[in-house]
Amino acid sequence: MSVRLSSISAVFALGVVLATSSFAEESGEDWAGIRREYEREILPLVGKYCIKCHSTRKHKGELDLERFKGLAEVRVDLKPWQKMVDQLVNDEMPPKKSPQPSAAEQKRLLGWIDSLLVGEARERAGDPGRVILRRLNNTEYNNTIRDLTGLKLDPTRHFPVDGAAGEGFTNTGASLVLSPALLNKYLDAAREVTSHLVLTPEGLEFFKGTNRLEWSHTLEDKLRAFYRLYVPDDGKVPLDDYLEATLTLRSGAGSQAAVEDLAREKKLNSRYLVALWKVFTSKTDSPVIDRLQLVWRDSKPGDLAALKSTIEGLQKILWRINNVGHYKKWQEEVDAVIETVALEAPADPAGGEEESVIYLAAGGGGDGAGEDWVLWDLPRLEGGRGKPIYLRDLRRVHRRLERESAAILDALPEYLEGAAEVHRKQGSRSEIVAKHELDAERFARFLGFSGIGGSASPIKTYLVERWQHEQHPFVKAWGPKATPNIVSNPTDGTVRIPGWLRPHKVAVHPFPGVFVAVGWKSPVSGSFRAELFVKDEHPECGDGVGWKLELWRDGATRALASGRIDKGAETKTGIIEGLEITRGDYVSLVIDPGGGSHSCDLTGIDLVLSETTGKKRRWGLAADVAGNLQEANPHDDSLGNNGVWHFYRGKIGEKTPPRDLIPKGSILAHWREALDAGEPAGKLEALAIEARRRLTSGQGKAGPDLELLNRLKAVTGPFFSGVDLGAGPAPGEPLENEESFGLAPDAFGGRPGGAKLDGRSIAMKVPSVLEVRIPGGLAVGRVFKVTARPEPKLGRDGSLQAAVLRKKPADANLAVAGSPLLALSGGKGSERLKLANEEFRRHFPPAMCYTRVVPLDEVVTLKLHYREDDYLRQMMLSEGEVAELERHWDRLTYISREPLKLVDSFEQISEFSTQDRPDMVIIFKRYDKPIRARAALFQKRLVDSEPVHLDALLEFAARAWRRPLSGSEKDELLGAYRSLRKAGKLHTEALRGIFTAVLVSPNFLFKVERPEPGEAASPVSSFELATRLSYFLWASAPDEELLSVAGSGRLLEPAVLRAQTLRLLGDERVRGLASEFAAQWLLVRNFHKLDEKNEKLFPSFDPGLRSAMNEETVLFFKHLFQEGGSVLEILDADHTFLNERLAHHYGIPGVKGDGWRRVDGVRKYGRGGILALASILARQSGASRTSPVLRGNFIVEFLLGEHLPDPPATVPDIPDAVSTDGLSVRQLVEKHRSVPECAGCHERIDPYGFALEAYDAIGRRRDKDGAGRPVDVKSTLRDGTTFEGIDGLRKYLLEERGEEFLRQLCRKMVGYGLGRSVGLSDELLISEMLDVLAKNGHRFSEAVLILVKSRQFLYHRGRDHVEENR
Amino acid sequence: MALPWLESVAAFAKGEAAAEAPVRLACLFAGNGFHGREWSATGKGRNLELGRVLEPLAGLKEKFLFIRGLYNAEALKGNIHSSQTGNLLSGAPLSSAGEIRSGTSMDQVVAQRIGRQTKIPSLVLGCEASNSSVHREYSMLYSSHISWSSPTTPTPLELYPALAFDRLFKDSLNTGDKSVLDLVLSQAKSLVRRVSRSDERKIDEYMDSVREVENRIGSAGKDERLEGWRPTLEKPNLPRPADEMPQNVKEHMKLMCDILVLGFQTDTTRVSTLKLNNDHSAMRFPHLGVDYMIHHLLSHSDTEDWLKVNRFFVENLAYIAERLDKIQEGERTLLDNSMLLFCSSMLTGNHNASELPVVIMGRAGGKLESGRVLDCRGKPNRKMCSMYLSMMDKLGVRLESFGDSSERLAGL
Repeated sequence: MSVRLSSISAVFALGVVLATSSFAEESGEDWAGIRREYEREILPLVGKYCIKCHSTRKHKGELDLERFKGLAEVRVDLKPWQKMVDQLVNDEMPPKKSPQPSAAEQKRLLGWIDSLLVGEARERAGDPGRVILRRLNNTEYNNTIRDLTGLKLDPTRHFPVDGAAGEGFTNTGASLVLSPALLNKYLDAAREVTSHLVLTPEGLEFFKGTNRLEWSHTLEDKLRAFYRLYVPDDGKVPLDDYLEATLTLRSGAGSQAAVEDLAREKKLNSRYLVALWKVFTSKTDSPVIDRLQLVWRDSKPGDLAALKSTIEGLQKILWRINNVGHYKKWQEEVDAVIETVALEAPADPAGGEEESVIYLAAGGGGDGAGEDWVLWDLPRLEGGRGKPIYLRDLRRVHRRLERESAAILDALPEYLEGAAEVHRKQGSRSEIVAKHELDAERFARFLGFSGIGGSASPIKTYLVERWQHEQHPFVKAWGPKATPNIVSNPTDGTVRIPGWLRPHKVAVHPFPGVFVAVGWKSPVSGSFRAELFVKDEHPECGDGVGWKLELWRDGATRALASGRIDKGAETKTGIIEGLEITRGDYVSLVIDPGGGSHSCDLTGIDLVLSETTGKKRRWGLAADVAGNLQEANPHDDSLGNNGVWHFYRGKIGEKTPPRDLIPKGSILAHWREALDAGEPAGKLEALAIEARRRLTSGQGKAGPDLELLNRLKAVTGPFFSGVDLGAGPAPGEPLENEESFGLAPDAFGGRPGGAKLDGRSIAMKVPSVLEVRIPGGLAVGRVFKVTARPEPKLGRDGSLQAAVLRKKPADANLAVAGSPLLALSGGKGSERLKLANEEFRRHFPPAMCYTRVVPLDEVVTLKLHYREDDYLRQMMLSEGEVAELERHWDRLTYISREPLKLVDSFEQISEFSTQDRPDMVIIFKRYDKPIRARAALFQKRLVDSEPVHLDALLEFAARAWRRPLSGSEKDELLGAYRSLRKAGKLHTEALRGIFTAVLVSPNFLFKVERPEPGEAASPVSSFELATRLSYFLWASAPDEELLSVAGSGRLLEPAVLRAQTLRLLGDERVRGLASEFAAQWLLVRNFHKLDEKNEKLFPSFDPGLRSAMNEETVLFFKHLFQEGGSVLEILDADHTFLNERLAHHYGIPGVKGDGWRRVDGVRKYGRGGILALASILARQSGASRTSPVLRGNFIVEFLLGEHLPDPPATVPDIPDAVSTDGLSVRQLVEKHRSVPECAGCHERIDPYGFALEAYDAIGRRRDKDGAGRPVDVKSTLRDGTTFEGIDGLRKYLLEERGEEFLRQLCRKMVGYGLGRSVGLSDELLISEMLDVLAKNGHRFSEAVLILVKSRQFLYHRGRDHVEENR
Repeated sequence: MALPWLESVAAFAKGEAAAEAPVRLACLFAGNGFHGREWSATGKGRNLELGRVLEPLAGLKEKFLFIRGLYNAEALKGNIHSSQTGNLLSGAPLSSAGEIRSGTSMDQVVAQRIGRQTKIPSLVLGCEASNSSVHREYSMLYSSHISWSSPTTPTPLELYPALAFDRLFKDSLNTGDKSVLDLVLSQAKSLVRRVSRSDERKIDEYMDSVREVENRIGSAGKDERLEGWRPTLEKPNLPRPADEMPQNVKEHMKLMCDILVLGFQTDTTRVSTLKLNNDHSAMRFPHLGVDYMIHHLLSHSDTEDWLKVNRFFVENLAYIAERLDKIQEGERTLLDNSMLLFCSSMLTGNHNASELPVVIMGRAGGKLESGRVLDCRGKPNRKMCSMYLSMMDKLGVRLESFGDSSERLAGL
């Protein structure tokens, strides 16, 4: 008999006996001896001390000991005898005032009870026990759903809290009830889970979202993640890294292995790097790659600029990047083997230069296939409103301008004198012109320039911008895009643009405050009739327009006629007869916006001037310009006169003073001042002669005179306005080869053996650079344009690139690197180039793939998803990776149902797009059929894949029910599905219905076990064992491996069971055991929900801190279980798990951030082991203060498993807990013990609590209590043992009470593992667990292994087992 | 295992029409007893003198019945707290050590008899989550449940006002669910033959739940009352509460009280049980300025703060009573047509269960004489279960015996 019997309760005493006396080895029970002892010694003792109160008649305290006439009665009801031990050892019974048994009598009684219980325990050992059918509790349900779906859904968040029973755990059948309300919640939960069900081509999955759009997003994200494995977010290759790597390789071995090693090291795609390495190092007959290799060989590590710019230049010409969403590719491969390319460069001189230099570079041939020839077709200057000046004509035009300016400058004194006379009004202009033998037209311009005698023309502002209608490109216009001022329709049909535009007519469009005019500058003198026509072409809106016909002559304008027309109206007759017109006069038709308040003012106009005498020639606006409105402004007539029709606009009512273009301080300014001051003629004449001298001698090379000269000679300036610069060479005019501007005449035209060329074009051998100098006056505001292509005969089989440059290139080949490759189709160059381009494209795509997956920035699109990843597949992916990518895309198509969606969006778009564009109907019609055909095919695929889902349903049910389905169960599920379909439900709906049923089924909700008929215990099936095991160790369903081992039947083999048990213990999911078993045992499960603290006193005790405390507890046990630590660590660990928040709470430095980590050496901060866990310390405290009673009781009852007597039925008033009278908590509690009814228990429990007084009510360390009193942590136990503080308590528990603690742990483990109360029949098992712990370094897993191979764990009671009352 | 609807379905199917408003039953519970000196009432009618705990009921003295001296013999055995609560409404013995067994509680007996006359047989509400642990071999389920639908089934409490509201007014089930339920019922049937004898009742519990839910689908939208009395409210006049759990106790209790009233007023149910807190409660009362101890610990001393907390609970009873009293049902008010039982597991925080605190508000449709004190102290029959028998009589549920009693309470 153990000495311990005197101090601890019977069940533990028994355990100690079993463990220490090798009870199991004893053979046979001595029931006869026990019976004999009962009859001879125990019955008399009971009779002597107990029966007086506990008789059948009195049965005080519900206890009747009289009924135990013999051992048979005793063995049927052991409980009173177990209780009797408690009563005896705690000196509870017999009551103090009654006669007390002697020590020997007490020892005999206890000894006999012990042998009785030991005998019973041995006889009943291994009874599987009464395990009531258990439903999943809320945690198990959540975990199971988590493991079935892969989603954290928490579907039980609104469920009632589960009850606990047995050993205090919520996994016992008795406490897990069901009700209609709960069933309703199960239905809701199942429906919630099912709403995440996604039908895939392969089966079924659960996605986070609950609708198709969210699912698509999930899959799009997966695709993006896939792409991101290879390329950055934009899909572009990090070219620098790869190029740099090839240079690194160049200095090494360059073997395939070396390439792969480097790729690994630099985290580059090795397939792609290999390809690049090959392309740079292999012999090539590609002119493109060849050139690239040249640059590569010249590149040095860290200096990739040339190589990159060459590659990027080629990229620019070989691809066009489109918006995704319409019908073009994103990276559209440009058929770069084109025949021609239109090139251009702005011609303006650089700042401060008098001339511009343009370089025509051709290169890029050099493919070793003979000579390359370029054809520079029609090189010319364009721009402004004038006609092009062909390069061939440049010298002539230049000369003409020189001559024109010389004509004025040489006669400058005469012109000035004439101007002075006009100023002084000394005769009519024609008289003055005649008198000084001046050119009338030049004189008019000169007057305009010098600001004498009114304006030089009626033109306010020429229209300069060319524009064409987007939908109807044949509609050309002058003027800003927002309001094209004059538009023409060269076709036979009326166009709506909006507003009507008649065939072969022009229309003008004034806008508020601005008139638009067409001026006819007469090329001849004579008598004329003018006819005009004006029609408002915006009949739906606006308020009509006003019109005016004006004549300009000699610097002044006069009105010939004017009128107004209403909305939609037109002029009836507009004929003005008898106009006498001199060459150079303007007749202008001016249209204003009428009320000026509206912009709907498209106005159809025409103006016809007819000679009434002489040749009777006729000038018609529409007839002359409608066919080629944009040719130039001013526009030629159709009789061969240049610059006849002038298109212009101006602000209404604005009086522009004559422009004074003479720079201040220049010689002409002096002349002008002299004229205004009325100086004598001699002075003026002297100034005039000086002016000619300065402006012709080249003396004015700086200052105001140079500015003056530049203004005079500027080709776009007023001095030359009206001079026809584009005019071809006058017959017989000599061309001067020695001139430095432009090119010599013999540069133009064909070459021997070559094709017949336009005389304005040039053929050149390649590589070559042509330098073209252009006088500044001709270059300003213009663009140099030329079309380049291989010369049709000489360059037939060659290939080349061409560029127009403003900087002198060092090398023609390099200069053209970014230009398109040109070759003639059918020629050899073309074939070669195509191959070369393709090779380049394969290796250097701008982006490997379109990583966005979804079209971006497109309002109207037909594409739900856009795929473009050919380059990625070709260059980077292995076969397996390609298959994976295909699978991703297929899933996306299938799950998003894109082909069906497309039908809808197509209908919407085509309706939207064709509503005011009937012409688009045909275009959309093209797509209609294929889209519908694809949808139909997809629909069929959906139907065809339905059986896959049904298979998956059955598979899911088997996983959910944790066992294979029987044939009839399968039939039942499928039958129910079919009847739902028959009732009109769609496939998905019906499937969801059955899924819901699977998750509400008793087969899912309950851990069903099917024992054998009869009373005898039978082994559980391997699937039942798998379920027992996984819910024990994971609080969740068996995983695939466990089920498959169960399916093979091998789980029942000890070695396999052992291996699986250890595997489960090592798994992350053992967290379930930590929280459901360990934390629940210690009463801190779901500690984060504990909301029992005074908020004012403990503001930091917020949900964040509570969660941290909870997590620490769970992690502590999870790691202990997972890593196979010693269970003694539960008391004496020197480590814990912390994040910053909790470390701060504990005052432990050096822990930063939210992440959790193991921290060692925490003992010195007063932590380590469960006694110092904030969760436990706080849980066993009051709302505002600590409670040594609660903490002490926790240690005694929950850690050591002692049975305390029940508190008195009526608790006497305890000293007032509110008015503390300045007492510390400890003193208060000690006062409490002064009440005799309480003292018995409190003496047993309070000392343990006192040792923890250095921790406050939320587990912080403290030296002083809330009122500033020092805390006292010295404890004296009832038996006189003393210790101090947590260290003393820990040492005492480990050294003196270790066995009780371990026994309690094992007992709780058995209770949790089996989901029931622990009874006598389990005592041997517990002893065995204790034994194995002691022999194996107290490794937790060893105890678990004993438990799972116990008869209790492997068997269940027979189906017909009748519960005995014992 | 009781099959509640089967017993009453026949009678109900005939569509009994009543000319008068029915009697409603509400059982309200507050744990841990009340202030030792201030739980008192003396006198009669308007002259009733109420102790300070009961003062919030002063406005309804004439509809107030104070009963002294009742007890429940089984509650004196076993554990304190849990054993005093789990059988409060049944008088049944409680099992310990791994087994959970009490008795079907009075409210559920009534619900099983008359509950089929309304959309919801009964509404069981709570304002504090259950305690999921075991205290000295007794499951804390006992401390958290006064309502038991069977001896082994504590009725789950609805804690969320929104879900309680839904339970009354939302018809979330559809015909598709019928096939789901048929399917699982069939699975349960095939299972019941395979599990052990002792587990059969778990499957029964499951099947009963399925059947009842199924039944609701069947009766959804059907009003089987043919003629006669109609409730004063057809549809809820209260918006659906927010999904979340209310932030504080005061708001939580008020919402639950509102829902209880709404259930009666719309005649969606005639039986409601509202457990304001658990016995062994950990509720805090910052809104009363009492936040240094949880409810259970406060109960151990008769302080002013404890009184404040007691009054707060009684205020909720008063709130329900006053609201019901404002609803006119013919000549009587809804309160007149009700019995609101208010009780606790012990008289004071000292665990004394030999005299339980009991108050009944309302007149049971005129069948109950109120405005008085019924003192049973020293009487031979002072069993809680006798009171329940009398109360059930007034609800038209006549039983020979109930719990530990087979006689009615004299004077009730």
